[in-house]
Amino acid sequence: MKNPYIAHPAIITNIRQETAETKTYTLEFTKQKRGLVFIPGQFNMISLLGFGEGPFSITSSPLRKEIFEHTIRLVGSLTGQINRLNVGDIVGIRGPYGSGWPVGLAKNKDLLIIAGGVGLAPLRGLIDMAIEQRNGFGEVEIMYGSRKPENLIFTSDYDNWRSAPNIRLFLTVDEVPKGIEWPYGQGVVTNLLKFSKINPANALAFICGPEIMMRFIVRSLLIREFAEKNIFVSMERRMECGMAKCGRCMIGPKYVCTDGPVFSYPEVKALPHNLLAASL
Amino acid sequence: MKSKIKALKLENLNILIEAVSQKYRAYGPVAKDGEHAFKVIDPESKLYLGCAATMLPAKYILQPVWQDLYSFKLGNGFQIEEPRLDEKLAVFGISPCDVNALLALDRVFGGKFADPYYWKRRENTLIVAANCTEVSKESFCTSWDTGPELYSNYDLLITELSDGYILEVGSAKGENVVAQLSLAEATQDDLNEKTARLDSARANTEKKLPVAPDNLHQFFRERFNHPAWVPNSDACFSCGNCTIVCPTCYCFDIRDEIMPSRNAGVRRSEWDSCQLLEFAEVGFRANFRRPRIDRFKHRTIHKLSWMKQQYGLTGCVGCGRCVRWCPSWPERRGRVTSLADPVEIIADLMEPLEKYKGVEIPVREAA
Amino acid sequence: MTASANSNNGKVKTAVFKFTCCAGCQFALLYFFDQLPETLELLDFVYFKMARRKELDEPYDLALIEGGVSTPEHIEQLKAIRKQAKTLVAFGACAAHGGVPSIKDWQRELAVEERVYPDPLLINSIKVSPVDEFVKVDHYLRGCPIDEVEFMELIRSIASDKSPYIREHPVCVECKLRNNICILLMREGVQESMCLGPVTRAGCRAICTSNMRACFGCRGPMSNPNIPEMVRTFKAKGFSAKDIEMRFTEYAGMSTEFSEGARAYYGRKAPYYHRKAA
Repeated sequence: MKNPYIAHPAIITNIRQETAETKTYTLEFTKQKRGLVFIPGQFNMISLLGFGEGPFSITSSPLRKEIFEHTIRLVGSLTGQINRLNVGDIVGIRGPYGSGWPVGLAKNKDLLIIAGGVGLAPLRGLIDMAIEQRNGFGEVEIMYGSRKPENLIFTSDYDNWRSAPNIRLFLTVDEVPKGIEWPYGQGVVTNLLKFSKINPANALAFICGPEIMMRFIVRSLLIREFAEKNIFVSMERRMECGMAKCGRCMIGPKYVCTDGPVFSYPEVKALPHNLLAASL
Repeated sequence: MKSKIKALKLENLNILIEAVSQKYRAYGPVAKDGEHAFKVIDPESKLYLGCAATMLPAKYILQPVWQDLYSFKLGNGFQIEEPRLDEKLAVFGISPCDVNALLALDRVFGGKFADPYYWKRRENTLIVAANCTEVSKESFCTSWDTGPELYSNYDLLITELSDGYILEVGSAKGENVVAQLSLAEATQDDLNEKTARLDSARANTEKKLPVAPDNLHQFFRERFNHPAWVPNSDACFSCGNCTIVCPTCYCFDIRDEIMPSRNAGVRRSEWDSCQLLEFAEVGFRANFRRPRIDRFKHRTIHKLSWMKQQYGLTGCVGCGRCVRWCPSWPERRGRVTSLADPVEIIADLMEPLEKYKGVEIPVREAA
Repeated sequence: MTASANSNNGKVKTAVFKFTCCAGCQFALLYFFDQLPETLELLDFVYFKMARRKELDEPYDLALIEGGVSTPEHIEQLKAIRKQAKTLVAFGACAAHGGVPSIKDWQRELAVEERVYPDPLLINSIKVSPVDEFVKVDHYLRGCPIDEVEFMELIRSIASDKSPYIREHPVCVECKLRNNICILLMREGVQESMCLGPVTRAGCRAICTSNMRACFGCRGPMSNPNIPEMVRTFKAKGFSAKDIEMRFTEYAGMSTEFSEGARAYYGRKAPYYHRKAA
């Protein structure tokens, strides 16, 4: 029997600083030649032997299999240790786990991608995929909000995204510190929806961010006549195993690690917990 | 169909223990501090084959409290060494409810990502179950049909009679053990006595689920925001007792330990409980299940309804351990009852809403 | 990979200080030299009165503070230690929660002094407080005395620069995992069954309850104890207000949670309650 708890070594080949506390790590398996085959929105369990293991979204494009990326924000003990790593260090990887964004459903559809804070991380692979396979998808609108301009991640990708045909990027921040030039929006992400030119009838909405933000977004989307089944959200919970064993990530009868982290809105709505209750 | 099962007459258990311990490390329920616990046994041990007799269920032999997943070397490279798990185990005196609980755990630890630690032990384990000729006042196994009689999924099955035991063989593994014992076939009288004893155990079970198992999903769905949850969870210690003694609870934590030499370590799993505050805690001490009421509801509904949705098997087998070992005994509907008792919780949820006038249901905050 | 930030070729420079306590935890530390030699090997003691006669003359990585604070001088000393130490550990029940000496906080200061000292005017004592009342504490080693497994985990973690795995679960968890019967549920032996296990933080490996002694709460409250229910349970078993107050104030009466338990029986009329309102 194959042991699914065993992590496979991967070497850090590049580190890019995104914000003061967030970095993007480029990884490559040292033994497994096949690379990582995954769907955007899925996650890996990253191990630092001696320090523990945690779930992190894969942030690179699924079309590049030999290398993959993780964008990690310093929040606690494990991420603190990861933050100290250098190029050439080895981490353990097992995965990919979870459902991922419904890429098949999204073929030839318009995409409305809405993210808050580090919530853009699980969506970046999807955006890159939509750019690389421009003919496979319709128009793409990315609406991204953050607390301050300095908290925006993937800033080095924005030019690339903007220059691709039929892709529009909208940014907003909650507050602009004095002395910083900010030509974009200010306020919550929901405000950006008014710029959307996408026809909800032929579009899917992909959302990731704090639950409170997702709740308002879902509500606004429903008002804009998005069908419930066309709205997808990525949820976050604590996980130890990623394989529906440790029981931590359960929301009612759903395991976020295997049934999610990407859920369609009707799936979340069916839970008794009223998580993204979008009463109109 | 029952007649096909090979039924033998066993004079005393010690012959069987002796035969089993030659090949297996045998565990069985023996006395401890006036109660019973699974311990390693020998032919001299006095087994107690009562209804869900042990405080910790047999799951702790198959999924140990503390378990080394693998050891590793720190420093250069990435070296992992898995433990060897080829010890043959035998568990005596598992109640029918506990065998049914193991079937649920089989599904939890099976599936796409089968847990090799659990399965290696499971496959190496000889299940010597024991039917319950008496059902304790805390148990309600008859409501789930998880007891007092076991129909399948055992290697050997013992039923106590007035003058010895009936030993039924349920697998080739079990057959191998009894082959060397040259036991006589059980007589029709013995079989009749077995049926009579189990029927009387069934008839004497007073505790019943007030809702049919098939309707529980709908029942909890309708009552997810019922005010009765509030006084119930207010009396809860969140101490985790109910989950630790539960034969179907499986949650665990994984952590790393570094050896003092600092060049090696082990990754361990350790039982955990959804009742504890830190269970669902993430970075910055944000918590997805902070209110006590959320944790209380999660255990109750997961056991009684959600586990069935996830795995197709009930998460409650009616063993009554949580009823027995919950330290909180509030007064409900005029009687002092165990807080963790699923039957009492369901009864509370069936009370008319007027009874809970003035009870404020806390509004859930987004995490 | 292990970034060792410690100053003395990987060893952690350690200083041990004693305030108001029985010194039992330091004594336990001496005992660990025999029991856990490999772990103690990670430490380099620059100040440890009980073990060696060397005065403190250098900065240190780790300060183990034993005992509660009971005089104004203690506060100054503690603040000075905090400035010197990279990591400060409350070492034992007295440092973590005030411990046994803090029982006096529940009585009138002068009444206590008069009972003990011939001339109370010579005494300059304040209420006994845990060290975190005055300085930031990085880690807690609770218990009376400290537990060797927890100590081992803490020292190894500090030496490897990671956060220690110290669980916040109640004694009940560790007690059940050891297949013990429940003392609180025992119907006979009334005094014995006043067990604080469901609200007390574990890490002790349920040593008392494994030996059929009720938990007396030496490790202080668990992560979110249900104190009102604990009080109700004791009341239902027929314990008096005094019994309940004594149980909660024996070791960790200065913690917000246990002081709530001690006051619960009297409601707002709690006698001699000095600490800030919970």
